[in-house]
Amino acid sequence: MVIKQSVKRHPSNSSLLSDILIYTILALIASCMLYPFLNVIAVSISDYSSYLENPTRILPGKINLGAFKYVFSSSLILSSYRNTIIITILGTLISVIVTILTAYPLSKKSLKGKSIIMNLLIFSMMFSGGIIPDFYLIRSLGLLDTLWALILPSVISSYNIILMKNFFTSIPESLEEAARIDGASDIYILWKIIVPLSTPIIATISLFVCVGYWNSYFSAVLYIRDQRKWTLQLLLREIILSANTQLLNAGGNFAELSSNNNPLQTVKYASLIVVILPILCVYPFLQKYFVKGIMMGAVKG
Amino acid sequence: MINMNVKKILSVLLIVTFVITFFAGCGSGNNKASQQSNDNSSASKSNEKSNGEDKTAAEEVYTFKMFANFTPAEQSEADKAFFELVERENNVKIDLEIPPSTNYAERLQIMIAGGDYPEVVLITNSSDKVVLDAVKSGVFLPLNEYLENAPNLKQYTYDISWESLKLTGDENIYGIPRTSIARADGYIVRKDWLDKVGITIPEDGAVTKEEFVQIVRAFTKEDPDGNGKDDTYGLAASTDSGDMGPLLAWPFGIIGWQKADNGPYEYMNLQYSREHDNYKKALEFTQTLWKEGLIDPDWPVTKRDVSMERFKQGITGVISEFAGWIPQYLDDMLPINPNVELTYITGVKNDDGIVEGGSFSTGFWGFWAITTSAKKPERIIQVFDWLLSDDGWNAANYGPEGVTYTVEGDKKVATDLYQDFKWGRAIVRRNNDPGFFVPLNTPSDLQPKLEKWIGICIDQFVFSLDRGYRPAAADNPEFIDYSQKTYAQTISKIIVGELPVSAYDELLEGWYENGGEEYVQQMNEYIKSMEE
Repeated sequence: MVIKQSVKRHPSNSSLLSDILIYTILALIASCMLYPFLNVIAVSISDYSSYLENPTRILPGKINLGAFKYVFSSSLILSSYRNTIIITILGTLISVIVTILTAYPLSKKSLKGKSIIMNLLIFSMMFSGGIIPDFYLIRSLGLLDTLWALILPSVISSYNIILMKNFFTSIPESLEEAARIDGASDIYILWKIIVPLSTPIIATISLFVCVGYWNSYFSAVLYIRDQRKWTLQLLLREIILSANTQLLNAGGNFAELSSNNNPLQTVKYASLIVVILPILCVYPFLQKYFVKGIMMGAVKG
Repeated sequence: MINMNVKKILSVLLIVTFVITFFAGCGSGNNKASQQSNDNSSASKSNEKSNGEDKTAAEEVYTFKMFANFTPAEQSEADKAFFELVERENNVKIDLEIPPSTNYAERLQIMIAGGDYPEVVLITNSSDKVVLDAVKSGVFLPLNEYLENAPNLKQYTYDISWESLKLTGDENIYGIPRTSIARADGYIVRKDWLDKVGITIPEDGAVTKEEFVQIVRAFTKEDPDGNGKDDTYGLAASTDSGDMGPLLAWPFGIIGWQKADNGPYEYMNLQYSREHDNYKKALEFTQTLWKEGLIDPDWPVTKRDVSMERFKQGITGVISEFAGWIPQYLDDMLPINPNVELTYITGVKNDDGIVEGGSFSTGFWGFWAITTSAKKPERIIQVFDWLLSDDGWNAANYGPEGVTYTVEGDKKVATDLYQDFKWGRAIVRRNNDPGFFVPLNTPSDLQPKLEKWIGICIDQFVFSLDRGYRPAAADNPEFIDYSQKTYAQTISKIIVGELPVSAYDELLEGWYENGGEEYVQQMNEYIKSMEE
């Protein structure tokens, strides 16, 4: 029988001081991060003149939901939301499945030509063809102006394959041998034994891939012609940055720079909120898996 | 041993495959271009035949694609109605491809590389190397023969715009200009502040340099907003690149490329002249203003849209701006401060007591190029020509009648949809109608003042003779490096006072040594050839 005796340790003065210091610094850093966020929320529900009066406000001025109404009335927001969700879900599913199917054979020592394929993978991490060759490739595959052009090119990430392969290597071979003796086929071993054991790495990679698809915008710039196939980030970038681009395009000719052509700051901020909201809801709960995943890659890699 | 051989063979195979695919990629691009030009030559032959049958050809609906960077990204109801009107009146169907404007340059590049050209493309920058290379490789059609049948285009476009579009150095014109009004803008000024500090500006809005400094100084130091705080600055300023330059250059004679009165070259931009110290005087002027604290201290980190906001917030009192936007500024400023009044300085006089200046030398704001994909370029030109005819201009200026405006008596009254009419106004313009830039819903008391101020700005405009020309020396990497880094940074340092104005002499010498000499020579050759 173990008696747990809780000894109350009075914190010494110096550790109290350091605690206060640490918490103060953390609080400052947290408020630095929180402030822009509160500012964006406050401005998005204020009137434009309240924004002009005080652009750095945290508390909203005259409440005016016109910005949000404008954002939701835009058919482009709805269609681009839909497109991004489709791409993210489909892309993550396909990417994870393909990554597993690629990494598993590569984790077997007995695979012939394994080192050549591994070298190819690593080589492709360092170089890329560039925008124009990528464009030619997608066009010749007939994928131009389709959502598949946004999903398929990033389905394989060499980094993820290496991560997963390393994890698979760490699973003891004796498990597989035992299953084989019982008559299991390779596919059975993969899906019923290896995958359930690898849920941490699969979850991590799914997360990385998911966020990658959600944030992607440049592929949409290159491959998409139809406005209704734009993704969320592309639309958001267009809304927020169009003022700057128009400035560059105007070439110093002020007559071509009507301020009415740009969405108001309140509309820009409202769009920001609309786009960020899903990530905000999901991220805090998944954050610890991210950290675990990065650690996993670092230790095993 | 066998494994080693297999590896060697495989690696050699891989290298060979890479090399083949590399050349294949290059090759197919060239093939596409030559295929297009083959198509074009056969198409132009059939054009010559069908020109005689213009009337019957015009009865068929001609479909073509238009590639432009219209903003905002979503087409409004007003614009939809406008394009329907254009299609009806010209018997065409226009397929609009509007890429995101923030990535228009990349999309333009890809479009040119891709070989699948839309019929009409908006080019935003006539000096862009990608565009000039595309012109040389025959992506765009020369339009001279079609422009013969475009009387409105010829009538309402500046001659210098056509000259600026002779992009290959011969007589071929490669685009339809999107004309802008050539004018030398002045400054919007807080009239309520002027009243408070007791300064008046002349009727025509032209002030001397000393009067300008007086105004800016009073705005900074004499609490013009009357709130007891020392929180105002005279002159608004902004920069996109982080580099600073003289805020007032025209009053010192820096008006682009003109005939030189002395020096080794026939034509000179006084900014680059070793024989004149005009640019140094301009630098000194801005340097003095900066040292005295009369310019918005956030200048180095402020972009144009933010500096407009700062003016509207009442941080600055003088902002360089087009007079036609005064109503928009008032719309934004009056809800916060009902006492705001705005007036306009049309310009600052130079040493001869005259105001003259100019900010762009081509007369256009981008141009429309027609690619080799166009089977009937004459139909496309017809559409553009119609837009400048009296009926078409009405629509391009105000939008479709009944949709964006209604006629009450003899006046046009804007409807709610008027402010959403954007795309149609970004196609072509008449060069003699400054009213285009004065919105329809401008309050009637402001309208005559705006037209007067804009008229003065138009009269005081001087075309720079370079016509947007990009000399080959501008592609020299040393030149680019020197201009973008050393030159720009040194100017910024001079303005903030880190370096004396005399440092410009050495800087200019360096500019000449790093390709500037060739630049000036080539520019002179070009201007001479155009002035003949």
